[in-house]
Amino acid sequence: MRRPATTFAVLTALGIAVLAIQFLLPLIAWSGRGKIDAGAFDRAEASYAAGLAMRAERPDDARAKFLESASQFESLLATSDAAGIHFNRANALLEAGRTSEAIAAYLAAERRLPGDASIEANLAEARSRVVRVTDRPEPGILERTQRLWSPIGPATRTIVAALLLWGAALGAALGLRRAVVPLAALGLGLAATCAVDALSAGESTAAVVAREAVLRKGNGEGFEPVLAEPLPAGTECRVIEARPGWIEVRCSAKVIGWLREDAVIQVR
Amino acid sequence: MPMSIRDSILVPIATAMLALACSLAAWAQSVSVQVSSQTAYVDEPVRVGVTIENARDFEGPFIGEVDGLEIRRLPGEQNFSSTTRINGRITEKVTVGIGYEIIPKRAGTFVVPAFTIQHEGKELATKPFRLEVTVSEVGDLMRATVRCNPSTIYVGQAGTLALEIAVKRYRDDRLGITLDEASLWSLVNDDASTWGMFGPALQKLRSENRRPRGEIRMIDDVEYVVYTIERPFDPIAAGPPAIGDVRVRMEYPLRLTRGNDVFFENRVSLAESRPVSVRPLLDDVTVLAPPEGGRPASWNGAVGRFKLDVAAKPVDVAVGDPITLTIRITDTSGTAGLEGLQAPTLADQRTFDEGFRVSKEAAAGVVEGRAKIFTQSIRATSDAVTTIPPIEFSFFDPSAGEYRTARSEPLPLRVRPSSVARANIDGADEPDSAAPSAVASPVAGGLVANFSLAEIARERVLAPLDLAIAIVPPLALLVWLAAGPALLRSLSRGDAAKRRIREARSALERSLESDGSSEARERTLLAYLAARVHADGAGFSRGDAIDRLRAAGFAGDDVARCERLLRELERARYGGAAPDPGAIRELVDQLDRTTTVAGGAR
Repeated sequence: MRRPATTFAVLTALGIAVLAIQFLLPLIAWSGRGKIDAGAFDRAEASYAAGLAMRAERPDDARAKFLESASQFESLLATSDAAGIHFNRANALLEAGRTSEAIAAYLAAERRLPGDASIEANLAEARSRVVRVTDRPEPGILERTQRLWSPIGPATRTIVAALLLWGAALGAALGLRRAVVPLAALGLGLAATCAVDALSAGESTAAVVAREAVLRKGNGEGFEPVLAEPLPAGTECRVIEARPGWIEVRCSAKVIGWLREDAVIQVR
Repeated sequence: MPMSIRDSILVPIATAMLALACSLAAWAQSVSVQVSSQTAYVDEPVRVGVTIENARDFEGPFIGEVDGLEIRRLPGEQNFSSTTRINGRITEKVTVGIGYEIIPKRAGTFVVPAFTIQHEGKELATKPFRLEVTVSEVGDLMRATVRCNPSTIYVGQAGTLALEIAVKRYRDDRLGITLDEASLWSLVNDDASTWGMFGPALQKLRSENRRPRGEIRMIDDVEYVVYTIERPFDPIAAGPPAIGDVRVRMEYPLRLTRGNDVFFENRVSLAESRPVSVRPLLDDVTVLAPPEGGRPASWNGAVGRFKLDVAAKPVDVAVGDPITLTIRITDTSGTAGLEGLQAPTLADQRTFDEGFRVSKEAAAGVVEGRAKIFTQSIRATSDAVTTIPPIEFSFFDPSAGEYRTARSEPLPLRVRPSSVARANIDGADEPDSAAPSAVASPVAGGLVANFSLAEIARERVLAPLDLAIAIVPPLALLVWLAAGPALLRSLSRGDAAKRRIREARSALERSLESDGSSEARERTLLAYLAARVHADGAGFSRGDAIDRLRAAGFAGDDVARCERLLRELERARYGGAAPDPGAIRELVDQLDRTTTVAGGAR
């Protein structure tokens, strides 16, 4: 009969061989996904540059060019969900005067690349063009927590977490028990942050008011308005609940109400 | 009745000729004209239809010009096709209908020339026709006027333009019926009328299933029904307003008749009418440009009467920090055009020259009720600044006929020194006033450039699957390395225990099958019981066995039976009766079937 020690050694060796191959898969997956059509990207950039060139003298033509550029960047989103594409599209929309859509696109870029200085600067510029009648809604607990680790991108955190866990595994194999626990704890912690990001990615609650709209106390035109004035376009809010044709939003800590679904752009 | 030989020959020939004639008729190309009326009034359009049959690819129609007639082709064309099958022969007929409008410009008798088309090198033409044109004597039947409220309006001001259509009330003395305003409006020919800039307003009324309101008014001692169509007016240039091509046409009643309709209801209907049409007169509408005399330099086109309110946030800032000014310009006159209203240009106001950096770009504004709200960022360039100076907004007040300037209240401001270090070019402690400043001056506003393709390509997009692929393998290996040896040991222990039980059971069976002594049977049973409760077999006594079986959770009956059998085997050693081997087997089988806390492995 095979001794347990022999069985363990054989299984461990087999596991290392299989898992070492699997370790390469993320890199393969990342390198093969989200390829951007360089020609289409250049055309979108060219439209944007043309808009900038004619902005001062022919504002109407420039606006058309910016809208064309935004549309071209939007078509690139079919193949790549990169923050940069959302950001470039947002720039084109903002230059075209579509401030609400631009803010939604900036927020989408910010979700994918938190803490990026360019995105934050242009988002601030877009926000400065909006008249707010309420305070901006406070971020939720999850979002505040995510901001703690957001300066390090999820891909970087994933790779570091994997390396730490491989290090802990190596330590365990070599009998370095003192190194195993901290390496494993750090690796698992980083992996947990990535898991939280990945699981919450599809559950954005951010939204932007697309056009001037009346905030109502219920999901119907018959309900009384919450505010005496309509919410201006570009107002940021958080989605609480959705019902057919209507969305309940929180515009600030105290201002909560319902907007028509078509008056709101939900950030994806 | 049987056919004669002659008939049997003639009938097929006649049928064939008839089919041929039909098919030829179906394939013959032709062009014809249909006229709605050969009598018309000056400026009254006459509809003409040109029908082209069986000519798929043709050029035209063409028609020469006629002095005194304006002939214009109506947009679109109608296409029809029909397929006929006679005796299995399929023929297809194609018809194209094209509409024209002929508008006589003077009275007289005109000959409208032939409409011609070119088809496969051949020219096909309609017949010319005559058109008798007389002057429409509208007289006092209908009149139209365009009025403006206010009647004198300035560029930049907002007002209302109203098209008033006055139709003389009609009374049929014979029937003693006077048409009401709804009936009279139904006689206005919507399709033949053109509405110019009032078209959208009328379209909106129609979409709401409404019609222009009509009121009875006495004009020159004659009773009229006056219909009014209003639209907002926001003039952008001085001079008479461009109202577009407005012409109102209606069928004015000449005689009514009473009769039964298809549902046998007694109804009054129009027995005779005459078309009348009018173009509206502009009733003393004057659009003026604000005077140049006394115009302030800061005036940027505002006309009306305004109130200015300014709010700043934050008001406790460091040098260079942005301060958002919210400028609310409220129209108190109720006549200002707010859409085109521009914000006061702070960069041109001297009070902001010192102490503030102001963007030269015009601030975007939002109309809210009778106010327009602008937001603009300014930055204090010195900590000596203590107030945001009053903002001036100049406007032309049309009621007073002069320019006025509204000023906001100064707003208190606290400016702290900036924490940004000032680099001195000469490296001296005190800045040299003659040396150029080395302090960067940031410009407010503007966008940061797009991401390049290379930057985007470097961006890693993480999917949950990526995370799983990256994390699960090392984590699984780590768990395996940490827990694997212990697990294997546990499995190994389990195997040994099972093996020991099997071996003890075999030894017991052997002793039961052979005519072994009671002592051997007692020893092998105790060895089995020791294996069953994972106890050391050496020195394992009856008392130990009973205690461990109870501790392991075996059933009380089984334990009692075990104790009785062990006692009997013990007595048999000293000459007592040995227990039946079947009873021992039965007990062991029962213990084998039992899963306990300590004896999980069987």
